Amino acid sequence: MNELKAQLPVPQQFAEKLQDCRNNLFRKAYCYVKNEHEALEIVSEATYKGYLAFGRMKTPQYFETWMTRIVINTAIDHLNRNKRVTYMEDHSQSYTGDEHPVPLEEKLDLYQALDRLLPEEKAYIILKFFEDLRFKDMADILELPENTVKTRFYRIIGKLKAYLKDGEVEGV
Amino acid sequence: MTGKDRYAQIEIPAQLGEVLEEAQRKAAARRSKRTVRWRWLGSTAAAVIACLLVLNIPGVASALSKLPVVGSIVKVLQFGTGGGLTDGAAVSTVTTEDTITMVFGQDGGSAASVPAYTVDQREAPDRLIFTFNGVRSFDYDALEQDLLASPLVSDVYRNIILDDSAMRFVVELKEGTRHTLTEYSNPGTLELKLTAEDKAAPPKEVYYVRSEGMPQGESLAILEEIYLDDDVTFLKTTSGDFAAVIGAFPTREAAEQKLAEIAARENYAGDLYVDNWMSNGHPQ
Repeated sequence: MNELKAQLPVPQQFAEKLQDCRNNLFRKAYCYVKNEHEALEIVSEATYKGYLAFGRMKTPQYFETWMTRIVINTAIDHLNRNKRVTYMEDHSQSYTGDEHPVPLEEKLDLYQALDRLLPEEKAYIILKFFEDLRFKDMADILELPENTVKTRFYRIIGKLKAYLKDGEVEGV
Repeated sequence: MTGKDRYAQIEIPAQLGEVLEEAQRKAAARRSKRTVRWRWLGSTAAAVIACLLVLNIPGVASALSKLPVVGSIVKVLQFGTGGGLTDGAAVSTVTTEDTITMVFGQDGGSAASVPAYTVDQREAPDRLIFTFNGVRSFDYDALEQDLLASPLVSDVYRNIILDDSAMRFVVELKEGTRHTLTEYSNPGTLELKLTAEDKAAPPKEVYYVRSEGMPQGESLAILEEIYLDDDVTFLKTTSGDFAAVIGAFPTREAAEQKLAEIAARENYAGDLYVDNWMSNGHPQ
């Protein structure tokens, strides 16, 4: 049964749930563009989309997960539209790992390193390193199998390590 | 300081709450229009045909075009939303060398603000999609003529909305064109400034989930209702028809994945397929 059919009207439910997570959503958007005005545009557009789709949401307890996905997709679209992407050679390597993040933060400024990643790759760093999410939770947000998330995450880590090795990330 | 620390210290702007409330207001207005539109679908198609007719009111256009643009800048943007709630605003255009200014009127005089609008920027091909709500006397012919006169505009065409107080049109830009929009109040005007970049990005192949080409009309407008949450837009085809398109995707696999997601829905009618064309081209 759809839990949204509760006592509160849908707009009020949406507004209350958004209130609880809006700062987190803004931070995520900001990581993509590093610019307050554009980050506000992204969360505004994501809110608009989320509001229109909210009535079809069957699991309101996962509201933040769901809105995070919308913010991430909106941010990716925003960056792609504006062509603000630094395409780098893909230094893909095979990495295996467990739930513990590699100690990459000790070696480079991951917040700055985000700027070296493709729009589609940034979420993996934001969610894992900045939000401390488990791979399972990341998989829920990204709507991907957990193993796919792990594989992509370690590929991105490999890419960052390659930049580190090449001295391409400042402040290292 | 670690990246995590810097993330935690990202400053939350004071206007965040206000921005999100405004987005919810706009979405609520959109939702109520959608409800009205679905009811309206059961009524006469003649009403839809009426929406296709462009209101050309030279008197209004002439009066408005004489308005000096000396308003206060509300915002400068490349895409996004703006304006305020109006009903029955009239629109005309004033054109200079590289700037097209849309001038809004109300009750025979100038409007204090621009009607609620959305400007969407898309690629493959590069285009701007303008949607205005609360406008009824839209001198579209003059607007199209003015826009097409710009050497940086390759095409202009309308998209039909099942709402007789809304107007949507697409401005396709020549490759390597930059644009800036400036919204003014008192009087309400929207200025589109186009400039040529030194170098355009090289064309690339892009993939879309698309419908068959069809003439402008109710069928296309209904596709928008069905695929609204998939971010559907409408492109002119090489034969002069129009297609609903969802994308663009960098690979065929990504487009096929999207199509599979849509096809898994209960009410999917099997009316879409994956297609590709160059980013500076159009669907067949």
